Amino acid sequence: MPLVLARIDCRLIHGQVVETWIPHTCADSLIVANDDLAGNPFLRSVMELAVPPAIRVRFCRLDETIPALAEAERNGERSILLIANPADAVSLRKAGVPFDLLNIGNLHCAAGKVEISSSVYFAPEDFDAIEWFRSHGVSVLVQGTPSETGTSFDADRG
Amino acid sequence: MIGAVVVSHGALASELVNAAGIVVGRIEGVVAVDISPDMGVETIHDAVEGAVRTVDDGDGVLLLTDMFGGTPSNIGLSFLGTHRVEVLTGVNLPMMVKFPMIREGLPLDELARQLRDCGHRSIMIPGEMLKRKAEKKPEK
Repeated sequence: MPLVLARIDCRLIHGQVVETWIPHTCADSLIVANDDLAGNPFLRSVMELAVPPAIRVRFCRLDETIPALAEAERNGERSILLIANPADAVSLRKAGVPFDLLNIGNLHCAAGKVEISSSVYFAPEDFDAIEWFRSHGVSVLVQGTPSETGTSFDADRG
Repeated sequence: MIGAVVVSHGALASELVNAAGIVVGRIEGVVAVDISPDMGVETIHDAVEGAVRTVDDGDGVLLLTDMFGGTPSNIGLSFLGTHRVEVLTGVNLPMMVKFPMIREGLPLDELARQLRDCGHRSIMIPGEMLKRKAEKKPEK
């Protein structure tokens, strides 16, 4: 299975990903699909610093994600796909990025947002995105770390 | 399962445990002992001993202290002869985060050595690393 985890995390690469999800999924590749970072070499190199050398890191624009995943798959890599927000995740799924389970680890708090867990807050448009996923066969699991009991929004199987 | 007692000046111990919990999720078998300036040596000793007993299920306990030579460390060392403990000084967040990830299957002394090495390796100057990287491979 080449794509071992698809995760929405507004912090993208950080301690939880490196210390828990990489060992938990036995991943050896991180694919960060983010238009802002793809155009910022300095932030990319800062974010890459704390990743162990054995882990391959790719930064790509949203529209480069499918070729990046295909390349990782050809190399036999086990990839974690990191996405900054639900809207980007919807774009990726619409473009054909294959995931039936979507993890949400961090979406920061802001005015008007609803608390889902201690690290995940939904804006109204995030609820719309979750509904879109449910009606398109994608289950969403809000879970910061693998040991955390998650909150799930299961896909409609009707 | 090897337990851990984190002992520090002030509330550093509690907050290190809290912070590590944010990164890797709640850690089982860990107790923090915060030492305030008004506590006598005997009180501190009793608090640490109680904490050790709480987390010791027979596999031993790692005493993580904030600073070699400080009171938490000195009192921690006094348990070496009487309890199945290892003392590790200068605890930092990377060590706390690594502890639950690697403790399974390791004997107490080896766990202490690996966490010490992890703590050493975790102190760095990222600005220097970025400079070295830029010299090696100029960005297009």
